[in-house]
Amino acid sequence: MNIKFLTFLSTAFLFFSLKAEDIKPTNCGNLLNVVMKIDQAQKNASLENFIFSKEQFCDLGTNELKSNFELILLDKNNKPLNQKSVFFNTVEVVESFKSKKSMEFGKTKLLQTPQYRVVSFAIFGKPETITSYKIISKADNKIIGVGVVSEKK
Amino acid sequence: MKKNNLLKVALFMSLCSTSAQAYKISVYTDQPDQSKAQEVINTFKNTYPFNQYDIEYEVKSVQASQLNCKADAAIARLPECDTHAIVLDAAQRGVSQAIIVKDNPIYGGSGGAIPVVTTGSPASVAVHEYMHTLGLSDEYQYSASEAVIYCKSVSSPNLAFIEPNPNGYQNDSSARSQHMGHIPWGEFIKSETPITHSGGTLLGTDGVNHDMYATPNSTGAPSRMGSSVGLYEGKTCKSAVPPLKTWQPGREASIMEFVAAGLGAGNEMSIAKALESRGVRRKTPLPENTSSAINTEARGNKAIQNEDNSKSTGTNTISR
Repeated sequence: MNIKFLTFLSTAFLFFSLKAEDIKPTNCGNLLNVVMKIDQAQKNASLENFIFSKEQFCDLGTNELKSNFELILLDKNNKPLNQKSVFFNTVEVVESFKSKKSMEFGKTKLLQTPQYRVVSFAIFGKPETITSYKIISKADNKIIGVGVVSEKK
Repeated sequence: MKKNNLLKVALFMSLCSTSAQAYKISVYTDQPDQSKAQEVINTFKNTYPFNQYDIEYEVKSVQASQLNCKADAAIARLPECDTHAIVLDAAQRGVSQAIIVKDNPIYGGSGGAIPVVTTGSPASVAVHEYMHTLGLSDEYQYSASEAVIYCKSVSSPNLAFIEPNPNGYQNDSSARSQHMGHIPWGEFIKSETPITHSGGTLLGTDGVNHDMYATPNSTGAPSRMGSSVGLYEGKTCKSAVPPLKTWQPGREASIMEFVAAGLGAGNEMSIAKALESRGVRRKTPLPENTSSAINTEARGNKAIQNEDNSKSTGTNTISR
């Protein structure tokens, strides 16, 4: 019993273990984790790192609550291959407390330094078909980030 | 031999399906004994609704240099961390969300894309900061300088910016038709809970009672104690210029105002919605008519008063 057959069986098991309404053709595939960066001060965003994996992943979170950014992965002809709406908290709140005993917040500071988060995609097809990306701010529908897909850094 | 192979296949399939589906949270810490990180994980596991979801937790020990935190002299020397290296490590290891527990006796934390809490803080601070990551806002009053950055009239799952009609309303229905679309938790407000008072002429179920804490909920069911989810006037942006009215889902102060408080029923539902929107799956469906345990523990200097809400239904039906 070889590894390819086991992988096929596990994918089939995964597929049938989900509810029918959860499954869409583009929901499942190989896992791609990217590191998304937002620089609120510079008003731009980027995908800093791409980590492709053979791990099977069914993405049930393509439209996050209160999403404020649209991430689109494109092929060499600029055709969208994968798309996701994410919420990214761009403002970091540093919070102190009035005292160790007090449960009341004291002085706070809001930072707009660059922030990072993991975004996962389910890639249906070969990873090398994804060549570039763009990031759109949903607040004003403006493109705030474009770039090429690079190998894992 | 055949039986052994079948068992191996079954085990392999179950492992694959589990690892591909579970949402993974990794708590990165430079505290040698990892005790605060473990406490943070236990707090999430004992807080509704996080305890209802298929979330894998782990502790990852790192060196202080890897956390890349520096003390901010302007704010009680609390650590501010450059999280790129941590997030990259998380992405490489298939982790969905990183949380940082910094070995530092100062009481505080930060919430943005990556929650940060110090070892000198109660573990509930990590819950508060992670709620920021999921999009929830602070419910305490910002200073005027903070309000300039924060109070931009963009609603969040627990904070609505609504300026009431200066001429008032004819009745509650009229107020609902004008404003329900601006209340992010509107779907959680029962039809029998008004969003107005004074005979339906003024906006607001009531004002938030900042002397009453929402009861922390470690049960497997939504909070029953406290007021119904409604539209309660808060104070987050009172110091903005000009002052902005903000509204919250609960009458009781929640963990977004005091870390000793619970989430409150409205925030529990918003958190559940936020987690599910990120693809986090529930462990098992909840049975109908599940009763929640009654939480009666007092917290800190302010006793929790459990209101008997005459508007609540008599049974504990759990909605999905």
